[in-house]
Amino acid sequence: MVMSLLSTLSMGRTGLRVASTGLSVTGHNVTNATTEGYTKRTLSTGTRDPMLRNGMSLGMGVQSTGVQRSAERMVNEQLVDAVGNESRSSTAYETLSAIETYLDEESSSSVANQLDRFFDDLNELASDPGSFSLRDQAVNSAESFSDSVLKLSSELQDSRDAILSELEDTMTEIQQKVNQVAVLNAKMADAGGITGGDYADQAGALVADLAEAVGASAHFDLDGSVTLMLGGHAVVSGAEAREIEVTTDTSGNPKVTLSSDSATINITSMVGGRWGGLMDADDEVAAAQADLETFADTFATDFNATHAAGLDLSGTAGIDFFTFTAGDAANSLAVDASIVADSSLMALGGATGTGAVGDGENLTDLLALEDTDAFSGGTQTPGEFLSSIYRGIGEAIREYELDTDSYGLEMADLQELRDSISAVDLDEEATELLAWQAAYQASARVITTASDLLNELMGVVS
Amino acid sequence: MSIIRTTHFSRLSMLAGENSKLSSRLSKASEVAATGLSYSKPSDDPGRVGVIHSVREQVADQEVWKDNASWAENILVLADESLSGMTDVMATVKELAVQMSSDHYEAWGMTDAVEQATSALESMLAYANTNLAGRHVFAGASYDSQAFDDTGVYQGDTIEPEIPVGDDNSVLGGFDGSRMLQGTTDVFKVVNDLITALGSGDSDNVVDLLDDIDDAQDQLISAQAEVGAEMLKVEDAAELASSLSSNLSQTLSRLTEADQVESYAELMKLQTAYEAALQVTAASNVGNLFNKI
Repeated sequence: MVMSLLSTLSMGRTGLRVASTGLSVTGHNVTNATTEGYTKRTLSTGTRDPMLRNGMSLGMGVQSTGVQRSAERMVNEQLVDAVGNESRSSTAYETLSAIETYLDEESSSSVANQLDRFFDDLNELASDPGSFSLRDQAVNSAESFSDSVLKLSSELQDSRDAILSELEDTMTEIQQKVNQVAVLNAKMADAGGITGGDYADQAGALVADLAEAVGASAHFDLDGSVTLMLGGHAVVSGAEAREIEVTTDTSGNPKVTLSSDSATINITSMVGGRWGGLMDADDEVAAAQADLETFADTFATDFNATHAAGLDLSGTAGIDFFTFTAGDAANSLAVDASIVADSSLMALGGATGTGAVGDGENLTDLLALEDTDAFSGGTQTPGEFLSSIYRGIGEAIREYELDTDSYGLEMADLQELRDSISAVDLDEEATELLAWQAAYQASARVITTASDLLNELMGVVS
Repeated sequence: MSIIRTTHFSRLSMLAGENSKLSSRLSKASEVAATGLSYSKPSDDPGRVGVIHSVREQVADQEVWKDNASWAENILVLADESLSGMTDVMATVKELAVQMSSDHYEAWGMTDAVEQATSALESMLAYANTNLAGRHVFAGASYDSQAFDDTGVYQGDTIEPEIPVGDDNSVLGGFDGSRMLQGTTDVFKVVNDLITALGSGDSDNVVDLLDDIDDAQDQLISAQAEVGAEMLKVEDAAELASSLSSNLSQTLSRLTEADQVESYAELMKLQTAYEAALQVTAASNVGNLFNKI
């Protein structure tokens, strides 16, 4: 009998211990309810091994059998991918939207509007080719036009520089997070699963950050450790992390490499997330830059060729109207200084003309350039080609906006699904708290009851 | 995808995401309603960028065409008035020649006629050298100097300046005086010949010139007709530019401006939705079981 009461006391103690652990797990859940990446824990319990006596099996109380993380690996891995995709498209959308303002669509200083104004002034000049005021006006608008090309080109380059700066500036932080994942993997391995839950959550939060930053994908192992991948290449495997580096290629485009002791791999095209979005935007801007260069070079070359075929007011053959550096026209386009100083050098007269003030034969040829299909393989006028640059950026923004909406929905769905599995619900935890409190009180009652009986028994014996 | 379990924080997080989207749409709708523009940047309607640029360019072009047409019209009116004046002078020359072709006139009469013919020649040259703000309308492309010298020798240029007044449409903004006034018949030479004939005192010489005078009149009438044709052309061009300017401006408005009623209704709708969403968010934050225990 004494032995049995002592067993009951012991049994009550196991109840207190488990209830105390349960309260601790609930407290952990409640205090981490808003922690990013935290996964709800559940204490599982089981009966202790029974005591066999006199042919009977006597229960020995309760024990904790483990703390489970309520996580679904597949959902978490899908969510990581969705975060990377959403981040990539939203970054490209936001970056290009900011760059779009440089096109100055509503401003009279836009390249497209300045080109129109230049030709309008040339058309007006055609009414009186000998007029110095109209010649000066046309030269002024030509200067404004070339300035607008330089301004846009400079702004596009500034945008690309800013993109590269952001990639370089965030490289250290990203590498630190990559290294931290490897450290956490090592800790999880060392802990042998005992404290793996918290490390796994910390690693999960870092993975989410890295998915957003560089589009990393992840494979979560059963022990909670993470294998971090970028485009099929392991960035973190176990306790080993590889170096991610941002440089530029020979053309000045951003280049991302992954290096280990043995090799360096170019993973530029495989990077996603914010970096991928920035590089997508950079690609669009680079394409616009190249188109602007084509536009400036072709237009100035054609204009100069036609201008050179005419005669100026003194009957001399025309000089180059525009000056520019070959291969860098968009950054160097300018009206020839001597023409700016003396608009009589505008060669508006016909080559076979007499140099008369009203000879606008060559001006007619210059005006025809506005409607000449000299671009895109002879299919577009200068204005149409310029519009295609504007349209290209506009279409890219719309595309990334739609992608952002689509990936955003997918991410929200997966986040909801992940939360439905892993998030802490305060109502549930309050209920758990009450349950563990009751369990604790009940176990305490078992102990006090057994203690009372033991005291009673001791009184009888004494 | 069915969500089997929602939590307080995930519910708030979801609502925050939805509110953010609504706020973004509301912001865009406010911008459209405030500016009245449905297109202010390429991404608003990438497919129409080319059309909008093209229409804008055409609207600006029409303003230039209208200005050019107005300038050309002034030049042509002046040319027409000058030719009309020359035609009148040539008519008096014809009358004089017919008079002097009679044997009734004595030598003094011929001398007086020479003076009249000389005066007529001076008038015609003055008309031929007429200019608009220094632009000599019959000097061709060399319109910065007189078309004819005092003897009627052409000083101008054979290139006739053209003024663009529309797409692939231009009118003459000056004339080659040697073609127009001295082409088939040199009107000044005819008058000069008459002066010589009158100076000879022989009426037969005057009679021989009557046909030439008729030809000179025909030359002037033909020139007037040519100027008239250009005037009609420029009037048509000005009218077309004005009409196109109006139509294209309306087209541009349709392409870039928002329907005010529609944009205002959209704004109201989104404002209501946003307010409702905020109320739902507030209502969702009612606390949890911890508040009750």
